[in-house]
Amino acid sequence: MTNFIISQLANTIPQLSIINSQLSIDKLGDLLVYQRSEPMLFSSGLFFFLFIGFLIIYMSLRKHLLTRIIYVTLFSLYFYYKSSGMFFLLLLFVATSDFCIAQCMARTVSRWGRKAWVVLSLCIDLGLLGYFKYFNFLREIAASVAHELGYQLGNASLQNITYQPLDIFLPVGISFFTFQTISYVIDVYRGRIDPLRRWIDYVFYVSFFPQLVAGPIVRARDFIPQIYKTPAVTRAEFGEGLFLVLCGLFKKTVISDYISLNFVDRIFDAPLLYTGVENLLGVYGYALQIYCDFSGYSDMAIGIALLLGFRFNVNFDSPYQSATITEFWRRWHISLSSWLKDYLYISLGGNRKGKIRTYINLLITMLLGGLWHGASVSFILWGALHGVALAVHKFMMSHFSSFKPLGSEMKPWRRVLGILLTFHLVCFGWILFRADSMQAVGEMLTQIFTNFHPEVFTQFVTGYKGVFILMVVGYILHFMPKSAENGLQAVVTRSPLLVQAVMLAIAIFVVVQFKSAGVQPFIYFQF
Amino acid sequence: MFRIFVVSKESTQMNKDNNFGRLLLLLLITLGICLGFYYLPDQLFGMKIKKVDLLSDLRIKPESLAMDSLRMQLEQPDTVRIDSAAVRDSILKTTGIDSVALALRDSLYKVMYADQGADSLGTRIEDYSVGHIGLKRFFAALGNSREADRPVRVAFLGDSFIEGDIVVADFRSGMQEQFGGHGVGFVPITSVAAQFRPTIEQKAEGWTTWSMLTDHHHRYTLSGMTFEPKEEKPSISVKTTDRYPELKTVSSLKFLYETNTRTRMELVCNGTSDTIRETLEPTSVITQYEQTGTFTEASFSFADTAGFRALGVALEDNSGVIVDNYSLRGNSGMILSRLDSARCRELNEIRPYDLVVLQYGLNIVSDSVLQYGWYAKRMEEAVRHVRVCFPDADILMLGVSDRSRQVDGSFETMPAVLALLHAQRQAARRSGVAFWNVFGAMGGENSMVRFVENNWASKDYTHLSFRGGKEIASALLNAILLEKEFYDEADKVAR
Repeated sequence: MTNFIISQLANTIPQLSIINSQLSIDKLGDLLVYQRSEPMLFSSGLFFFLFIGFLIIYMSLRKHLLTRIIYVTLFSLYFYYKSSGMFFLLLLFVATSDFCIAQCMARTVSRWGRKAWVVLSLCIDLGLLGYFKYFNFLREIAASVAHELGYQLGNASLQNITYQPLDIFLPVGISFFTFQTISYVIDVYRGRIDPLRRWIDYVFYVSFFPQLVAGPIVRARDFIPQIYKTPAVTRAEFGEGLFLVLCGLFKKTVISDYISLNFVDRIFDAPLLYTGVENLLGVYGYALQIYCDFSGYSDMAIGIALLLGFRFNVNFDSPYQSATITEFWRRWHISLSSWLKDYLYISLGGNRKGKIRTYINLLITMLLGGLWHGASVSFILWGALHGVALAVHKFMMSHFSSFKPLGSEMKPWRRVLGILLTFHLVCFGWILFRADSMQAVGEMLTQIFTNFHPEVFTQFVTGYKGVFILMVVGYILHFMPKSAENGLQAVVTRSPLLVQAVMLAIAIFVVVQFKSAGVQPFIYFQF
Repeated sequence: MFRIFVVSKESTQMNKDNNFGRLLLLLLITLGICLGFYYLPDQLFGMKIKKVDLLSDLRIKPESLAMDSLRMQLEQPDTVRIDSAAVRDSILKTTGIDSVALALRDSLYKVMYADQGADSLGTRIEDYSVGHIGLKRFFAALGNSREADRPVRVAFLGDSFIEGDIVVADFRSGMQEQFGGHGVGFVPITSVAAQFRPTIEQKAEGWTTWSMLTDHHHRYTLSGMTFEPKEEKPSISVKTTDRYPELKTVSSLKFLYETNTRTRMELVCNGTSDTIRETLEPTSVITQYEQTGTFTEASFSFADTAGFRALGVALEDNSGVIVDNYSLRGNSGMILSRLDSARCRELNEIRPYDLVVLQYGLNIVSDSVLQYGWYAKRMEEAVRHVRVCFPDADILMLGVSDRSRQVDGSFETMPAVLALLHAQRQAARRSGVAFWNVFGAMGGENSMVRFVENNWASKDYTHLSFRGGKEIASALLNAILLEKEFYDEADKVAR
């Protein structure tokens, strides 16, 4: 009897639930403190409310420079605390140490003395980055080297060394803010900018919340002058900012999150369970996913900064439209590639030390650039692939005049060919970047080249309708000419306030639909 | 469209004033519209829509109420009435154990574990047989394994959850480590997951696959598949792997087929140049061709194949424990009642099974269904039929594993999983077979989320990875060994 009642209850629960759902104050408390598993994202409901609150005070402090700087800095630190807990102190420490070092450097006259300050700053910044991001990786390598040595030398104690990872928390965005603060110290050293006089101004720069967690890497010399201006947003900038936020939301939470969960991750988890055609589509899907994820979040960051009166540089410029690998690196994650060029490639000597050294410098830059993305061999290989490709392209350009750096300088057929080749080279790189092991890389390539089964394609289209439509839409939008994009942006800009609000509300509606979409079950194709 | 940096000419015409007020207004209007969305109906133009609720982080989740009632249902005491006296009588007739001895075993178990019935942690085997004899024959076979002239055989039946030998490989390895034996056991000619399976390297060419899931004409046995030559010279080659130490070499190589007229077979073992040529004997019952020796590789090819139908190969020892993986993608378990009993007895003749494990459920569980009584009834039928087909085997039913659904961007256990688990347990109860709670062993509610975080499960929040399978296999092995302790103790008492 009880059983019967319970099963009846279970059937009526959905109707009851709406009435019964209630707001909880306890949950509000939980929500506002640091939760390790839930970093604050621009696409979260919490950020929406916090931002409204933030904006009201920000507006009223528009003309009060120092108060505004302190206020924004405090909000940024809170934002960081929400994502990384007490590690906001680390952020403060890095900012303070580099602020002091730059001050000291400005008072040092001798060249060697100035150099010593830069080295100290690099040791601190890279030391912290190294500890949090690469320490386990280095220990793993050391352990396997020791193991191998022990095996070769017959030393039992070396053979017995086993690797146990330490539980090191990776503070959110550490790769971004250390690179920002390094750019400041080196620019002061090179005499490009004067050191800041006020500590809080520097903390403001390092902690500014829009780019804090996932970039773009904003240079001190671009950003600092904007701190002192009374913030202003024109109608055009307003429209642009809103347009960027809308694009970013769509790219990140609709395209990227959906296709990764429902398709791409599965292929990379177990390539042998899928045919070659599914593997190939998985790679194309991943190319779109990583672009939409990364650039989508960048777009939101740039858009939000713009709405607050700060202009960041463009970070992604339709990279898959590139006709050469050189062009790709001028369009992909521009804030990182230009950082690497200015502070690593040029510091290594750039192209001023002969041809061989140029190629070597290029390779080293890309290897370290690969490593920046994460501590694993696969990222180094990915960097090496791009380094070699850039070097080969540079070699071809210097020996054959028909090889150009940009697609816009090519004949149309050659440009199309170049885009296809570059895209597939980049996709090959993405396999290295994403696959869990070299074995998985081999498995994917084997499936694509020896087990293709093209007949499965139509089943894929019907089976994974949502994924397929999103992929097609994503690539079509990506390859749209710039004029079309400008047109869309102009539409958003010119729309009256109410229409703009409806656009944003619809975007939020769509995001919610996708966030709660059921996980697409595995689909087994017959072949 | 995804370009970013555009300064349009119009910017000069538009006012250079600040638009913060406009921004605030924009956000407030948007907020208003979004609050309005909350009152949209659940369906719009025939499409189901999810509630837009900006305050969802603050709300007490309504599902948790539905979950509560399901949790209570799981904790309910036995809801099935069983006529124990009648059951004891029938056991007395079939096994010769008298009802006093059975009652004694039941009370002994209560004394030892103070606990009977549902186990929410999956640490114990739940035995729903009267007198706690659900795994008696299996454990007896294990006890005699060193002296017996045949291996202890386990048939591990399931769906894509155990495909590629996930779970089963580690379970097999653990059993063989404890009780001896080598080899992967039965391997069907080919399957959709053949390449994915790390416990055997296999390559088959020239066969047509018939599957029980889509075909009703052929007579099927445990693997649910049968293979017919498609080309003139069909072939299959297999090679052992060293993924587990027990798999590297085996002492017996078998080929199983079910019909034949005059097929000629060529067999090359271990990559040597000697070719064994045989004409397979004509037959219409399941037959095995066996070679003994030391094997790591074998290549079979066939000619004159009119009327030939094959099942697969087996790589194993003729001692210890052999665990056969019979996974079939998309199988819910219900079709087991369609197994051909004559064929199954033929199979049992050459591969006598001591235990049949039934791992099913993921292909039935659906987010919109909370009643699975009908499934439980169908599974009772299936169990009854498996008993007829394999009269000497014990049966162990596994409950469904955890599976998540996405709500507001985060993952949580589908309530239907709890409902299905309840139904499966009732089926085990009514059938009087042993049951093991996989869901509990994973860690219960929301354990799948942890599995995915650890890379122990796939991102569909349904299937395990090999690493996750290892966890489940070791939990299953521990539960079985714990249960074996009771049987050993009960035997001592009986003596």
